[in-house]
Amino acid sequence: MDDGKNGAMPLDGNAEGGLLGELFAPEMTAAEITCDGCGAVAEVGAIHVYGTAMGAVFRCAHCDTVVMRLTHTPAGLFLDMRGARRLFVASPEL
Amino acid sequence: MSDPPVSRGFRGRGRGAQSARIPPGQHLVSDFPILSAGPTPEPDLTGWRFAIEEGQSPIGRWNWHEFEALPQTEVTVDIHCVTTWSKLDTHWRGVSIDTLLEAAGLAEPPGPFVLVHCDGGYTTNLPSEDILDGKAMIATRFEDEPLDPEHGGPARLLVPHLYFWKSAKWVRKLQFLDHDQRGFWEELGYHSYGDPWREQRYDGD
Amino acid sequence: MTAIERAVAAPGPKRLQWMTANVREVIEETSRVRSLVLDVPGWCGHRAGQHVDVRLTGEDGYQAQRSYSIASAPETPGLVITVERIIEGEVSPYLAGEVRPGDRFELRGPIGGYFVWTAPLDGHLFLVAGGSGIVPLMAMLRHRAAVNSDTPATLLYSSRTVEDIIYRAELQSLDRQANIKIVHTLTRMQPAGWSGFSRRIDRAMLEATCFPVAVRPRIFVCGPTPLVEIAARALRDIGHLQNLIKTERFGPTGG
Repeated sequence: MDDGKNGAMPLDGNAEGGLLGELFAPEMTAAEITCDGCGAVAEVGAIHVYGTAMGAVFRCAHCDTVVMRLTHTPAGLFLDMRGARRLFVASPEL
Repeated sequence: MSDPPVSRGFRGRGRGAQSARIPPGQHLVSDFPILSAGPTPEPDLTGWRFAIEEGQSPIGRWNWHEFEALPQTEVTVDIHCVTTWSKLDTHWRGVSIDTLLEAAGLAEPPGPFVLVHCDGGYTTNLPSEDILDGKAMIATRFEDEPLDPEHGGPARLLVPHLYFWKSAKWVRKLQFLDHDQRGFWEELGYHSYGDPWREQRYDGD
Repeated sequence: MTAIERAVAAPGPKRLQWMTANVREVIEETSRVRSLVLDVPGWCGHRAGQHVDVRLTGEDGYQAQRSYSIASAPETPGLVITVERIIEGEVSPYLAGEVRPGDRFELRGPIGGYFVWTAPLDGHLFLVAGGSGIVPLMAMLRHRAAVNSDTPATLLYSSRTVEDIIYRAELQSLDRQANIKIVHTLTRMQPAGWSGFSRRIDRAMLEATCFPVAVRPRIFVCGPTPLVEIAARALRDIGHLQNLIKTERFGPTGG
């Protein structure tokens, strides 16, 4: 783990598996999301994620559309998926 | 649910005596941590435009050359991030919102609320009165150097009396509205106002 | 069977819950890195490459949370995490400094179905590690050994000095086996007589160490973000397909 002070560079979506696991029962980092901005399909674990100290902001690698964002506040978990067209979880994960 | 197990000997950061300048729950840092909701945009000063709008109507628009020619303001302020770090005596230079409204020929803000728009789709919301009377600027210099892209350069909003997520990086437009419209983090449970001294981190605090 | 009957008969995965981890043993790997052998009642197993979230609670109720890769093979009893102590960090100075056998903290996992390798997968294995990025890749090599797999595997591991190499003796032992190659690069200081690489990972080093493109190796890259970006881009430039390259960047989740 490096100095941890530079959040300008993204992490891989895999790093947010814990936060996703608070909401979803199946393992979500292997799930596939279709970007509503450009139609690109990517595994959640490979999508670039920003802003992790405040929440998770998943951005399409091709067009930077925010496909998914999550926060966990004292009130509860928020998930905004307006930038995603479709989510697919394969049967072995269910 | 039962209480979580306490880990012997663990103490969090900044849990000791607090200075009067550090709001509750914050700790002092000497570096300048970076938090972004998206990739750092490539600076393009020739294409850069900054605008003020009332609803959908444009009121003022400046290119970089015009913006730099506006009267400049310098401030030294403390800043507080919702992720608990605080930095004291930071030095900024830019154009105050008061100057911008004056340059646009306005005696008053054209709406009680403002929605701040930035590169990459980031937004944040504020009451208009919280960016007037010297409380806010569009900052272009930090510690006498042009603002680093990773810290929001070429220009970011600076509203130091609120949590730093409100000091939106890569700012492009102030849109004045007659209603409060939640921005990027506020839609996802963060506080609409964000006063560090009242620890208004999340909606409902 | 109806959907409801199926769910009752074989309940699906549960959402992650916090469990209590008890420290059984502390192993000093390097001057800054320690491995913790843990007993976690209720632990359901993991796959190599996955990580756990660790949460510490202080006397006053203050909590801090970070992610750490699992270092142990799934086949080994006793879950092991390896933690590098980051100066000015909040959690790592505790886990890789203060902690003693008998201590406990909260843990949840396993997390991450994306950055995972299991021995039945076909294809040669090429691993690229920077610093503590070695941890999940070591779990993969330990899993490979535990099931006696003979999948050809090469590890390219970047460290600052020879004293910073984590699992050094174990890697030396692995390197003596057929079908495994361990390649080190030391970026800050090299001992007298050093015959390995002595610079940051770059395209030329990757070309020299990786299996040929035609072999279609499965590639895992883990370490600080800048190293991962450079290595992943170079591997794509060399011709390896994007979908065979998996990356795990260590960023602000550390400390």
